Amino acid sequence: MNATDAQTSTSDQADRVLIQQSERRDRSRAAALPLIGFFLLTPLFIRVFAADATVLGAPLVVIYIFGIWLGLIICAALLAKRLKRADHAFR
Amino acid sequence: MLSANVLSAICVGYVAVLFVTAYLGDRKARSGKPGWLESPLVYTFAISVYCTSWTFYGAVGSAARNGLEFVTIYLGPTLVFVGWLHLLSKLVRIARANNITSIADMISSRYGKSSAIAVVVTLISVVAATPYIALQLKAVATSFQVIVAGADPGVATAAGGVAAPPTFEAAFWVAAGMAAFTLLFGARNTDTNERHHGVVAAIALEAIVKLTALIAVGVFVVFGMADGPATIFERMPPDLLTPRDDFATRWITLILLSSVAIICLPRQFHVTVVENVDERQVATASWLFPLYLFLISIFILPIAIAGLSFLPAGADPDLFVLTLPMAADQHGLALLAFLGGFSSATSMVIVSSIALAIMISNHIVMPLMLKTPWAERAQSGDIRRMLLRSRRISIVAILMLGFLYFRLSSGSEGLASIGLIAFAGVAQAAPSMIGGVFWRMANGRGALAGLIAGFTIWAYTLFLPSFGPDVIFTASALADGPWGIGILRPYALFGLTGLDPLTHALFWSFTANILLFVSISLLADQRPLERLQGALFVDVFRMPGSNSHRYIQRSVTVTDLFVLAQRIMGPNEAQRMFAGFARQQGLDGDMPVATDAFIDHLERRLAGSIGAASARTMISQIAVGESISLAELTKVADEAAQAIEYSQQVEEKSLQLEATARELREANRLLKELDARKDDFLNQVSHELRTPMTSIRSFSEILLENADIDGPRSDRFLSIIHDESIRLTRLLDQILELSQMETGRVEWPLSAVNIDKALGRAAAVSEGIASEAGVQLALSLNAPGAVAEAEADRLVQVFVNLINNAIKYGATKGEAIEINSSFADGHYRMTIRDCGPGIPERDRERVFEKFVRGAQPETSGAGLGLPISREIIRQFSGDLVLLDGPEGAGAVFQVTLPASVRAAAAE
Repeated sequence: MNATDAQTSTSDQADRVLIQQSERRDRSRAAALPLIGFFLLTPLFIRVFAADATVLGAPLVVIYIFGIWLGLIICAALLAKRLKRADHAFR
Repeated sequence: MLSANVLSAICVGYVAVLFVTAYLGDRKARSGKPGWLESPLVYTFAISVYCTSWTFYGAVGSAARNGLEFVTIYLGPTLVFVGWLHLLSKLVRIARANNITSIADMISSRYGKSSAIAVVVTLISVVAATPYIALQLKAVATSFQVIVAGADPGVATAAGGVAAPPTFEAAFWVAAGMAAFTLLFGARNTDTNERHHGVVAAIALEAIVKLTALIAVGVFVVFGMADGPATIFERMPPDLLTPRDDFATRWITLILLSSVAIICLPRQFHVTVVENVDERQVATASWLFPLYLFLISIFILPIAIAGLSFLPAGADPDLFVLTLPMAADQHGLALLAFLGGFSSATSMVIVSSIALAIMISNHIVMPLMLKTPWAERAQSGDIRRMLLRSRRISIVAILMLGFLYFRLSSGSEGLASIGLIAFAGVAQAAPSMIGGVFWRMANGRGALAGLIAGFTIWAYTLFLPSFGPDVIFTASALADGPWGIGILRPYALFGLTGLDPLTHALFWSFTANILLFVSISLLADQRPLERLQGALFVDVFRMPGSNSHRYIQRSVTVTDLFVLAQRIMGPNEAQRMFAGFARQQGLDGDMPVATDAFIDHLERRLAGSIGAASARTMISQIAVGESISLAELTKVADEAAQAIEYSQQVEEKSLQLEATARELREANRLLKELDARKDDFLNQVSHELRTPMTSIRSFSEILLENADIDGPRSDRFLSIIHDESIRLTRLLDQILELSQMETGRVEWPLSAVNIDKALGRAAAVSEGIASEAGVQLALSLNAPGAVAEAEADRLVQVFVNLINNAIKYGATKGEAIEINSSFADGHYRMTIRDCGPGIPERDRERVFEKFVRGAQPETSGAGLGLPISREIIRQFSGDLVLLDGPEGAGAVFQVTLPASVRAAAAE
């Protein structure tokens, strides 16, 4: 093995470590999603948003709940995409 | 509107489409190119079997009664799917490694392949699911009737559902049709490795139908009946979204309950875990399934509001999806809605009955049959046939049970809330399942006790009372407790009042379940097999599951194994498998050697057909001398832990190494440079020493060899020798001095020196050379009182050296060398600017190096002047630098010294 080979393999390894680290971070992010979601959907928040107000004709609380819901879905989709990419990078 | 016959024909036609889809799906899967069948989209649609007719009709009903509460049923699964990817992938991985066939199999496998646990989980599932299936049949029957009766408001008014006596005929035929479908496509084979592709394809199609139908009704309601969302919400009863008293507890309870149910419902476990073909599908489903739920929920509230405001008061909210289009004379849309409800009911019924039939045949029928004499009469393929038969019978039995239940309970309110009651029942499996895959110490006895306690309390406080007064419990038992014992009141157990029945039941059942599960797990010891399975489950990502043969040793003859395999897999399949393994072992014949690895492989394979507990029982019947090596298990667990630690260490090490390598490379570069400089230095020194030495030697040789040399010549020679020796000594002195200064070994006595005076002295000394070179020294001393701690002669030496250098390298005839001094901020500054070409950019660093001389043809110095001067100044805590300046404008050297101003300046 010559010097350049050694160097590339070290940088490969470093890349892999980085990928692993970012994957671990993504998994932690994914694990945090339901906690955040659950927290934002606790009855107290719902009560706060159950105020007598409307957004675009729909009651505020409806917009709030469905908005959080959609937000969770979008975050999950982004994370799933990233995790899949990391998965591919390994294969 | 439509006659019953036409509607029946439409139903039959729809079911025929399902049959064709399932058939095509099966054929495609068998062709070996599953293609779209294994796409994440199909997988996600299959998971949406979660949305039953209870969603399709019931969610609108719930929204009409309780406002936003219905969303909790969909928020729970959303939270699980978006975040618990880890749990889901772990379940899928375990199930694939162990050929898990059902949730009962999963839990029993984890706790040492315990039959008792499998039976209890199966019973819970059947008890909870049967009313749920009945609910689906009821939904289909009712919707059928509503459509056939037309939009006669009288039909859909009574709160319980339909005023006219329900036609059981329709429900019966639906049940029969579903049974036929499930028998054909769901009980074909006994091995989970051959998944029910056809069924999954049909379920996916149904998922599309129900979503389309609900959205179509929603769009029609919002934009056809009303003028957009705003007008719909204007018609909303003012207090619909106002939180009720028990809103907070129910909200949290329902979110938690539905998050647990999405994993523990037998049909969900079946499609999510057992039917999963590729672990990566889970990642896509993690957002696609929540999106499906989102889409299916988005029109629920508008439909409910429209039903409340457009339909006559008293109309059944559970049927709004159907009655709204009918009230608007949209018969096509009503038919689509009917098909949506029909599809959501049928898909649930199909998947539930398959999942339950697998559980019943594997965990109840199979163990019972093994205890009868029948099991002794070993015949090829007999168990396989028996299993298929029992599965088919189970399917029919489950559907019949559901139908009977529907028939018997049709008068009561029992069915309306059965969805949540079923959720609460199956949720009892959650502690032992989730605990089992994350907690190594979780113990079979604890799981069993927890399951039984949770199940019992659930039945007592929720399920049995739900039939209404005087069905199971008498009215007085419900109100005052059985035999008048107040603390045993089903809806207020131990005097806990103020909760709605669901929260109440969940609180007590989960308390008992979790408490028993955890405390017994902590107190009791695990059986060896349990410990083994626990380790394999909890560490499934670390330990490859296929090596459990390392821990279990037993001996069986290969013939016995073959007989057993034939009974369960059928002769052809068994032969193929044995021959395949023999080839893997490198043998010529068709029979492998019955190594531990092979026995383990076979047990796993059989577990895929008959469940882990039965597979183990059957192998144990023919095996002798079984021993489970826990030492080996500990070793492997340690190895795994070590491997992880090791790989982390390697990671860290490699990063460290890289950093070190970088540092080393840098150090190496510096060293090389220093080495080169040292070589230069030695070269220079020897060269510098050589020149005077050569002349000394040659002149002394002349003197020695020629004795007759005349006086004046010999005097001249001697004086040259003398001069050269002096030069040599001076050079050596300089080198010595420099090295002493550099290593910090010189200590001059410092005293207060007036710097300007020293500068003046130096200028006077150099005056002679200056006039010789034809330049002037333009001296401007501006710091007459500045005094520094220094050694006067050395300071003068530095100034002389600088002035001489300026004359030597930067003299231009007729010009002046500017010497300036100033004092500011406690520092004395002296600058000297010559009038030469300056020092090129690239040489500026080098002028302070030893033996580096300016580009001047004849030079007498050794190139040590500047380095020595700088060292001297540094000894006085000052510095000597070459200032940056434009090239060609003369070199500017600056001396900085810390100084103070005194009135009476010392010398």
